[in-house]
Amino acid sequence: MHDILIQIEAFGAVKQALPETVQMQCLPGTAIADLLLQLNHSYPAAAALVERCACAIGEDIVPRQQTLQHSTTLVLLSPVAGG
Amino acid sequence: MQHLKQFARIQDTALSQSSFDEIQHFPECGGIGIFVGTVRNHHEGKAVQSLKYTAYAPVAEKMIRQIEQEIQQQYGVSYVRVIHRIGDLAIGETAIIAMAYAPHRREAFQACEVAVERVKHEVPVWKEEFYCDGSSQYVEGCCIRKDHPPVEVHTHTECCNHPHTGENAYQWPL
Repeated sequence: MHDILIQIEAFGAVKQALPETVQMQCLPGTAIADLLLQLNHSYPAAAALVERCACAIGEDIVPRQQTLQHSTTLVLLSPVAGG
Repeated sequence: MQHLKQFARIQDTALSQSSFDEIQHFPECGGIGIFVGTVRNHHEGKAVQSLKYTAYAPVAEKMIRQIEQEIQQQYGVSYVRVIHRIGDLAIGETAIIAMAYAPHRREAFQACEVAVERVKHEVPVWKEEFYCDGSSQYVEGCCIRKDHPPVEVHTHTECCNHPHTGENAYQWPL
């Protein structure tokens, strides 16, 4: 089974704690939660901010229990403050 | 079926009330609720020089449209629209416009206020403040993560003064 490539795109405060470009590899079927554990291991200074992020793929907010089947972009949405 | 204007809810150029549909399209309505949010020059005692708004547009566009629809049904109003600006904004520039048309003023005010509150607290938009002393920071916001127990109760003063206990928690009046 081949790894899939997940690009991390960050918005809001968490963006400042991560590099501009983050790409991670994982097996198909990996839960988003497990991928984020891997992310926190690589960037421990971002872990507390990642914990408060919602996740999105495309135009949908997705739960961390969801598994990743294909290469995609996973978006991290920090706590919001519009207006 | 009436044809209403199609426009982006997240825009990177100066906002205008001309983007919205005219009240004349809604002859049953006798009240307009409008909120225009502008950039002010201070925040928690610090002098603000400018703001930068960013958004994750794919979700933000979808969520604002959902919020508009929900509020129209919830408050029985004919028209609710919200547009939020992104990009670099100077003091005094318009950051958000909400418009609601209703048969009576009370529903128009209610719908307009709830629309603003929900967009501020639920939609993926972020505000970064740039201060006159050269520093900057993201304004503390509302966590929109829904896949963990909603134990968080916060009272940050800029964004809101109410506890967040679940989805669509805001009701008018407070």
